[in-house]
Amino acid sequence: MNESPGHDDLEHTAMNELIPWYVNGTLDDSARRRFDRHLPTCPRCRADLSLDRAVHARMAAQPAVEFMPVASLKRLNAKLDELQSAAAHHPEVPPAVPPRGRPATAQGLPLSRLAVAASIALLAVALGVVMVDRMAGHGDLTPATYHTVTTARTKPPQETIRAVFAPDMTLVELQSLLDDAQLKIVGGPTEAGVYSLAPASRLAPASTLATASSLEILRRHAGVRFAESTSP
Amino acid sequence: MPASTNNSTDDLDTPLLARVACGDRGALATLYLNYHRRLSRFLSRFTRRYENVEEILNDTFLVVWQSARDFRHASRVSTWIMGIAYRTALKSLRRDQRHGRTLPLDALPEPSCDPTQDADTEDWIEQGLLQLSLEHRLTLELAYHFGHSMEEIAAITAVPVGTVKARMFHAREKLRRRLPALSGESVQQE
Repeated sequence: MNESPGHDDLEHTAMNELIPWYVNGTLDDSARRRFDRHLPTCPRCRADLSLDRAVHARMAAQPAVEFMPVASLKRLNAKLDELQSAAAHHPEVPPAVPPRGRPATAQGLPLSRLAVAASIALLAVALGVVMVDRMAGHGDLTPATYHTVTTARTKPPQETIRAVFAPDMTLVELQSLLDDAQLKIVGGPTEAGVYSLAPASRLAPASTLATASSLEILRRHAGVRFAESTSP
Repeated sequence: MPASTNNSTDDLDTPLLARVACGDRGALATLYLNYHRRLSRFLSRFTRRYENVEEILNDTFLVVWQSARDFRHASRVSTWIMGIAYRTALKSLRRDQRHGRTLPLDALPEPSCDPTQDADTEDWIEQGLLQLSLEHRLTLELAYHFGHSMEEIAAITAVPVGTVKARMFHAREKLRRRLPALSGESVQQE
């Protein structure tokens, strides 16, 4: 095939731009096939592909930072309460979220309605924490008010254990515990704070013995409220 | 062309955001829990101060709470939220740098060893990434690790697609120059 040098350069440039998505597997089929056809003809892209794979692998290998969302959400709610309280007690301060269809002034917001809404929201969060406690030893998920992907119980493919951790558990404690149990987080947390865990090493098969060993380590830890095997 | 990030949650996020716009704190809590893990991972990529991650994340959702009514559906909810997180994080980091609480990126020392003799490739890549500007590094992270398309990255970082392309090009070029030993076959073999 006789291609002009200009065409080759344009094709190389276009294909080279796609390499990041080729290495992370998100390229659509059509583009991926085009890239696969181009690759054997382009040493520059082959060279870049090697580097980009290493970059992608390095990014994927960076330690995952897992935070405890319930505690963080409490702090967010506390901040929102402050804002709404300020709006309620200082009418000159615009409210955090004026309701639809009403003038965007503090005078348009009945204080009682704000207080009730805030109380209901706080109660919902508190109920979520209570239900997490009740889940210990039961294994049922509390039905959520809203249907979200975290409440539709779709088990992550690698999941072998589900667990709930104490809200005041620190990041360092959690990471250390997961390392000891040779587990990693593959899903969650759900609205009820349930995490899906799987063997940390892809090379290690998820055996019944390994799962039992990991479960024992989890259950011995004071910061684990609930842990159960989901393996058949 | 790169496929967009799988946003199967977008169908569920939109009605949630609509409820947030009506002042529904429960909907905000659900959205927060849905996005917490993804956002905390993203934010921890470019701040090493873990206490900052939660602060930035919560500031992000304060903005979500206050701006939900202004969401125009021109982008996905996920892209919109990531964009807020990105801008909130940049603002926080620049504020910390002005107050001397974090080192500017170019203060990192150059490695003294020849990369071709150093067997720890991952460390060299990590150093190479840290030598990039914040915007360049985040652009790479959003593409390589989080799988966002160029259009989504443009929406998240509030720059034109052309700027995203330029950032990707320059960042990858800089890594290539720094890590020639990782480039595999030499172009001279052509």
